[in-house]
Amino acid sequence: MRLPFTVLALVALVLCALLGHTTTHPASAPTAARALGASLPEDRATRVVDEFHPDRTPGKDGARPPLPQPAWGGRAIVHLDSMPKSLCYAVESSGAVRRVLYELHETLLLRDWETFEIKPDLCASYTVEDRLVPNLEAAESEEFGAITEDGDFWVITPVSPENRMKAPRRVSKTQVARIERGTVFTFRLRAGVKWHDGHEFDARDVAFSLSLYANPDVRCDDKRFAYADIQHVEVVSPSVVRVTYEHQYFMALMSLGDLFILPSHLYDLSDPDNARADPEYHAQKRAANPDWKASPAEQAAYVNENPHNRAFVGLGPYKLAQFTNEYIEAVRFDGYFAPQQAGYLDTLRWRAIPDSSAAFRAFLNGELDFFNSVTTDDYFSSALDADLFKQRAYKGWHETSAYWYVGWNCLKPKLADPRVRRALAHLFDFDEFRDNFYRGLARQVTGMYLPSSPAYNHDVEPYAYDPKLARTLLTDAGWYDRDNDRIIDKDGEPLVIEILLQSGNAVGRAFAAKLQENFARAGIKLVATSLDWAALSQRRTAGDFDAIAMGWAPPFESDPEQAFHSRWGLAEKKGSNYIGFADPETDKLIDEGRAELDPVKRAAVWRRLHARVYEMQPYLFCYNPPRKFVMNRALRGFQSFALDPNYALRRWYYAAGTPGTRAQAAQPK
Amino acid sequence: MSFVIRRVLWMVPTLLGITLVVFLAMHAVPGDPGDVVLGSDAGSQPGGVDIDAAAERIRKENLLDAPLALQYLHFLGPFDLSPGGHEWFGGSGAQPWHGILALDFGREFQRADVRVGAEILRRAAVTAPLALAAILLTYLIAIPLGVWSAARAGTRRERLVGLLLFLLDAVPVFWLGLLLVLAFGATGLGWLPVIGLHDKDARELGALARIVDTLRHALLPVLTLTLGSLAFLSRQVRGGVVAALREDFVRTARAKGVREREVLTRHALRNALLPVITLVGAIFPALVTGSIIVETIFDIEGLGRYAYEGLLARDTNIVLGTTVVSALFTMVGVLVSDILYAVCDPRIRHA
Repeated sequence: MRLPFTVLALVALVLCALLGHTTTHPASAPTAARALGASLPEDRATRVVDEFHPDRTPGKDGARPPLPQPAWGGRAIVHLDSMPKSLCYAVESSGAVRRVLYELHETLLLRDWETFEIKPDLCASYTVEDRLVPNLEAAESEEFGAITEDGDFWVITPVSPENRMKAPRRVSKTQVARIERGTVFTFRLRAGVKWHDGHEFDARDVAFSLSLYANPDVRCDDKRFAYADIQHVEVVSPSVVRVTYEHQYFMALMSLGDLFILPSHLYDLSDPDNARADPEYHAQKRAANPDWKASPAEQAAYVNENPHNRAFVGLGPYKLAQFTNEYIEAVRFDGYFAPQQAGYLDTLRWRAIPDSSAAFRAFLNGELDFFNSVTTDDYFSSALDADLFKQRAYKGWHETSAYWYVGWNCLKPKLADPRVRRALAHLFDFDEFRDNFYRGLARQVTGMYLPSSPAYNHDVEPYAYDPKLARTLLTDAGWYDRDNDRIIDKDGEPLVIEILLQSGNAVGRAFAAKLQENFARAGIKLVATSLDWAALSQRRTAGDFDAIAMGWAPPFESDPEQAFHSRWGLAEKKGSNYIGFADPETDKLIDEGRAELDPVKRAAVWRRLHARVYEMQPYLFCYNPPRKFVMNRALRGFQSFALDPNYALRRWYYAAGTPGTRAQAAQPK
Repeated sequence: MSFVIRRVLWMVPTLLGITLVVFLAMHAVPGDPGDVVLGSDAGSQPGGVDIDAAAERIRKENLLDAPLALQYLHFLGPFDLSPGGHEWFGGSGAQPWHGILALDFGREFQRADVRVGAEILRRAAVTAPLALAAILLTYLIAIPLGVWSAARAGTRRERLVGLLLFLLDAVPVFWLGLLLVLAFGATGLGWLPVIGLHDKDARELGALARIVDTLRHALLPVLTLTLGSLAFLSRQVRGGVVAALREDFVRTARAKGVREREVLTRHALRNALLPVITLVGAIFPALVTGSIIVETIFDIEGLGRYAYEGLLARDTNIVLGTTVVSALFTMVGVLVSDILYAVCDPRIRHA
C-alpha cells in the first residue's frame, strides 16, 4: 500500500486534554500517591461497573454492594470540548463529532470494547479473500478466493457465496503476476436496518459513501488516504457490497469497518429516492446515456453543503433532536435494529463548553452530569470534598489511550547517537514525577501502542533513574566537559538542548523544569520554549527543534510506519517521521509487521518493534494519565474501557424508581 | 452635514490602513494555518488522518501560497481570485465575488461550510446586547457616584469609596468574574446561574419565563463587564464635576441663591458630562471586542472569543473579519461621539 508521505498517524494531538490547565504541585503524601498508582491496571481491558460510586464501596469482606435495578428513561448531559458545525464526519473531523456519532450512528464492523474482537455491526457477516493478479499476457482473468500454493500452481478456492467462481481452480504460476492477500472484502448487510428517517439502509449507501473519497472536490482530504487504494466497489445485491483493494494492507479491514456511512437517498444526486433528483431531468439524461450520473463537482458541492450534515440522519439507537449553538441533543430511536444494544436513557445531550475550567464550574453548578477533563488540581481540590458536591456527585477516573512523549530530533548531530538519548532517559526520575505531579494517577509508558493491546510489550522495563550510568553513556559517546564551563561538550559544541512546549501546557512545564534540574547536574543545558500551537506546529514541520513535547492517542492498532520508518524521516524531505529517526532494524520490523495479515503474529512483531524503539529512544516516552471525571451520583452503570470512547453512554441508567423513569424498555404509547 | 459625510469618507482609507496592518501582522506571526488544521482534538481513527492533505486544500482554497499582494487583493475584493473564483482571473466562476468590497469575509479555514460574515453577525448579536447593557449600567452607577464623590470630595467617606474604586480598577476582570461565580453560583449563595445565557431546559419555558431566564443568566456577565469599567468612568465624572465646581458660572449660580443640589446637577454635571458622554464611543467597541475573558468564564459564544479562536488557528479570514468589524465599531463610535459633542455643546462647530 502506498501512502502519501505526508500521512501523519501522529495527529491525534491530544495535548490540550492531556497536558493543559494544571499547575505545578508541591510534593504531597507520596505513600497515598503510590497506593493510587498501584491501583492503575497494567493491561486490563475492562473495569468494574460504577467502580468509584460511593454506593459501591467494597465492604469489609471486599465485596461491593450490588448495582441497583436499572430504569428506562431520563436524560444525561455530557460535556463536549468543542461545538461541531456539522455531524458529517466525512467533512468535519473532530473528536467531538466522533464522540457524538458513537451513539447516533453505526459502522460496518465494531471492535468489542471488552474482548477487543472485531465483530459485525451493520453487516451480518463478512468475508476476506485473496486476489490473484494474472500476467498481462496471460489469458487468465482476475480471480479471488482463498489462495494456496501447490507446487507450480496456485489453487483458488471461493469462500464467499457471492463469488462467481463456484469450485476451486488451479492456475499455473507462470500465468500469475502476483497474489494480493486479503484484498477482497465482501460485506453482507443486516436486514431490516433503517435510517432515522425510516428509509431502508442498503449496499448502495455503503458504495456511495466510499465513492466520496475518490471525488476530489469533497472536503474529506484528511481521510482519503485510508480508501485511496481501493480498486473498485461493487454493489452485488441490495444487501451485499464488495470492496477490492489494489494492494495488501493490514489496516484495510478496519478502515472499511470504520467507514462513515451516509444515506445515499439524502446525499446521492443519482439516487432515485433523492428528493433533489429530478426524475424528468434524470430520465432525459439517461435516455441519452444510460450510465449518466451527476458530475463529480456537482455531487461534491451537494455533499459539502448538504443540510443533513447538520440535520443528521444516522443508523444508531439515538436520533438527533436538537442542534443548537450550545448543545446537541439526541433522543431514543424506536426503529433501531438492535434494541438489546440500545441505551437505557431516553435523552442524551452533549453540552459544548470549550474552556475546561468553565466546564468544571458548570458541573459544580449542576449544568452537567458528566465531565471528564478534570485537572489534577481540581480533582484533589477541596471543592470535591464539600458536602454539597458529595450529595449529588462523585469523582473517579477512566482509561484513555492518550499518552505524551518528548521527541528528540535525531537529525541533529548532538542527538543522533542513541547512547546520548539513552543517557537522557536515565536522567529523569519518572516514578517521582508521577507521584508528585500526578499524585500517582498516571502510568509510565515505554512504547507507542495502546497499553492494553497485544501490541504493547509489557516485558520492556523502563530505564531506571541513574545519573551515574547516564554520565558513563555520555562519556562513551564523547560528551564530557573539556573546557571546564560545567557544560559537557564534543567537537567544540556544548550540549544545549531546546525543548518546545505548547503554551498552557502545565505538565510539560513542570516536566521541563525537573528535567532542566537533572540535566544541569549532568552538565547538559536545557532551554524550555513555550509556543502556541500554530507556531509549535510550524517549527515541528520545519524540523527546527531539538526536542518537542507531543501527545498521541493510539487506536487499538495503528500503523507505525509513518511515525518511525526512515522512509518518512529523510533530512532532505520532511515527512511524518518528523524527528528524522532512522534505524534499519526498526525499518525491517515495521515492514515485516505490515506484511503480516495474521493479527496474532503481527502483534508479536509489534512487540519486538516496541522493544527496539524503546532501546533506540527516538522518543522519551512519558505518561499515559487516566481521564479524571466527575459524575452525577444518580447516574449509574459507568464503566471504563481501554478503547475509544472509553465509556459507554448506552449502559448508563437511573436506578428503578427514579422520578421521570419507567420500568420497561419500550416507551408507553 | 458635510462634516459627517467627510468623516464617513475618511473612514474608508482608515479602514484600509487597518486591514493592511492586521493583514501584514498576521503574516509576520509564526505559524501556518495549514499546520493547525486538525488542532488538538483530532480523534483516534484507525490509521490516523492525513493532515497535510487537508492543509493542502486550505492553502489552495484560500490562496495561502499566493503572493501577499494577491492575497490582500483577494481579501479586499470584490473579485474572488481563488481557483473557484471569477472567470476574469482564471477561476472556474463558481463564486465570482469575495472580499470586504463584496461584503464577504470568506469562509473559515477549518470549517469551510461556515461563512465568517454570518458567524460574526451571530456572535455580535450575543455580544452587543451584553455590552450595551453593561454600558447602560455603568453610566447609571458611575454618574451618581461621580457626582456624589465630587460633592463630598475630600471627606473620609469619599476617600474610602475612592480607594475601593481604585482597588476595583486594579482587580483583573477574570478574577472578578470568578469571584462573582463563586459568590452567586451554586458553590456560594446559589442565587444565579453562572454558565451560558440559557437554562438547560429553557426550551420548555414560556416566552416570558424565557426572557426572565436569559436576564438572570446575563446578570453576572453584565455585572462583570460593568465593574470592569465602572471605576474609570466614575472617576472621570468626579473629576469633571470637581473642575466645573470651580468655574465662574457655578460661583455665579451659588451667588444667585440656587440650591446646592441644583448647582450640582444643572450646572456642574451638565458641563462635566460632555467628555463622559463622548467616552461611549471608546467604551462600546472595547466592550464588544474585549470581552474574551468574560465570554470564556461564562461560556458565551461572543465576538471576542471568536477573534481569539481565529487567532489561535491562524485563520486570516476570521481575524481580518473580526478586526474590520471592531474597527468599524470604533470608528462609528468615535464619529458618534464627535457628533454628540457638537450637539451637546453649541460652542463646538465643525466647519
